Amino acid sequence: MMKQAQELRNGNVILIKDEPYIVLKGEYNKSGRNAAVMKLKLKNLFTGNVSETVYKADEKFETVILERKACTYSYFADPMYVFMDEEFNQYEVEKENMENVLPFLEDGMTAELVFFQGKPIGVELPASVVREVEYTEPAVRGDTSGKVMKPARIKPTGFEIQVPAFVEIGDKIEIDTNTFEYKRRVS
Amino acid sequence: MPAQPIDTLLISGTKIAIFCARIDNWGDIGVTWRLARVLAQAEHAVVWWVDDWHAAQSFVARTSSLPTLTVRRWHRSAPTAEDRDQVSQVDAVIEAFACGFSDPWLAAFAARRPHPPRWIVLDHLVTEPWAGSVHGLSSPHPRLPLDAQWCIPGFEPRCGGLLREPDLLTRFAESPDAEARAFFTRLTPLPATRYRRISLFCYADAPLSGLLAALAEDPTPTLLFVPPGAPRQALAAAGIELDESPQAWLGTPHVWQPIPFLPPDDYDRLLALSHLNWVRGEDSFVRAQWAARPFVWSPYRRADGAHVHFAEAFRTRFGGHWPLADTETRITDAPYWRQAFVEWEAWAHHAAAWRETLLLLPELGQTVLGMSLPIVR
Repeated sequence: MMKQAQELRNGNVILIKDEPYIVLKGEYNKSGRNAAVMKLKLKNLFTGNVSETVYKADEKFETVILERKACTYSYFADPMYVFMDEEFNQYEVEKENMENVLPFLEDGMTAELVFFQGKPIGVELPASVVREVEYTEPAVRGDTSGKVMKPARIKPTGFEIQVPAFVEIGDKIEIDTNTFEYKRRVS
Repeated sequence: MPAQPIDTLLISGTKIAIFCARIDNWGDIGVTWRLARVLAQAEHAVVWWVDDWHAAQSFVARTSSLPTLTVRRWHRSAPTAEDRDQVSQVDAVIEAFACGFSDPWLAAFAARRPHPPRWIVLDHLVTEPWAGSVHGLSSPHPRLPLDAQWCIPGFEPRCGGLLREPDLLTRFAESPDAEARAFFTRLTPLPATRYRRISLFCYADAPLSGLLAALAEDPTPTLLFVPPGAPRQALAAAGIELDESPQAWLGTPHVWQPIPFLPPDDYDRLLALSHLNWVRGEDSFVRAQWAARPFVWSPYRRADGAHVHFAEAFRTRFGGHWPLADTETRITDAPYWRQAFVEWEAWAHHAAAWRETLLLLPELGQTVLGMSLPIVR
């Protein structure tokens, strides 16, 4: 299906030179006499590269509906990450397409694989995940406001995020997988 | 403050093709011709392609030629074999005012070896702040191996800037009286330097009533220069019919002076030597700012009213409390004009100060040139 640049919305996937790009942000601009333009923030789903572009508002793009499938992470077969679906089909995902997932990766975790022309090109996590704090410095007495932040390492990857001072080792915390930010303490 | 010198050494000899589609009037042709001239004067080989061949010829006949500037007819639907040969030699193509290329033209660009030319989409002037966030962004073609880059002229420090010839300040400098008199003898039999002078280059629907009402009561003898076409239509709508000779404005000390459509350099002189310039569209609007004289602007009309916001954005930048754009409601208000005439010195000082700020902006020719440099692979 073809769409004009001005019709694109966040999450639409378009083809540019046969490579799929997801629209992260679109901004329509128009002035006194200029060509109405759409400023687009795009992510190349092959490379993960994010770029800002601008197009005439009536520039036409072929849009793509990506196939998605719920899968479970199985194991790492250097340099590929292997996922499995309910029918035990295995899919290999390149590390370059796992950048946003690796900080939270754990055996048996479920995620959605995104396919383009039958090839897995990305992994999408739920909006948030719960992970256990492996290590963090003890809180300084008196800091209970939640405004003072400190680093904490999470299991099982050792990824470090900022948490409020009251969070302790062994706590389970909810983390936003888009921003990598602490959301709340679960237990 | 002196104008920043243009670095003509940005690889002289770059082959640049400027494509211009004439929509209406002369503004698009004027802007692209000025750009072509700036680049050609810096010893780059410029081909100026214009779809309206008659208009291009007519325009060129009133300007001086340059050895490195050639004019070609742009067959927009598809390039001829000769056009393809020309295009195969250029380092950069400039799509003036985002006029668009047909598929056969794009295919011709894509076929250039060893690689396609640089492709710059030169947009119209933008007064709004977003110019700075869009200028320089690329526009990879969805299917062909071509990547355009956008150049947005405007007033933001990080946009393409404004066209500014190396001799711009000389061009708009105060003229010795004898020189001014010599210039005006080509336009009028009257002793123009003894008059207050107003040039009127507005659109046909320009709301002139406020200006005319204020002038009608003003005792300062004023000579009003009126080129053909839309300005005379605007006056006719106000009940003032002009032929080709000077005409007294009965009941006032003022005189209407019809003038021909002037070549660009002569129009610059007129702007510099007038006390007030009513300008329109884009080309004369920018030139009036360089002239550093009080001006009023008719922005290009858009059916969707976008020109009103365009003008408001410019007012926010320019400031002042004098007439500025004919989209403003007070423009038909005679007392508003009367007060502006009383404050003419301050108004002129403000316009001169505004020009100083423009000198800090990027120079559009230099910007385009930087984007046009041959690809080194």
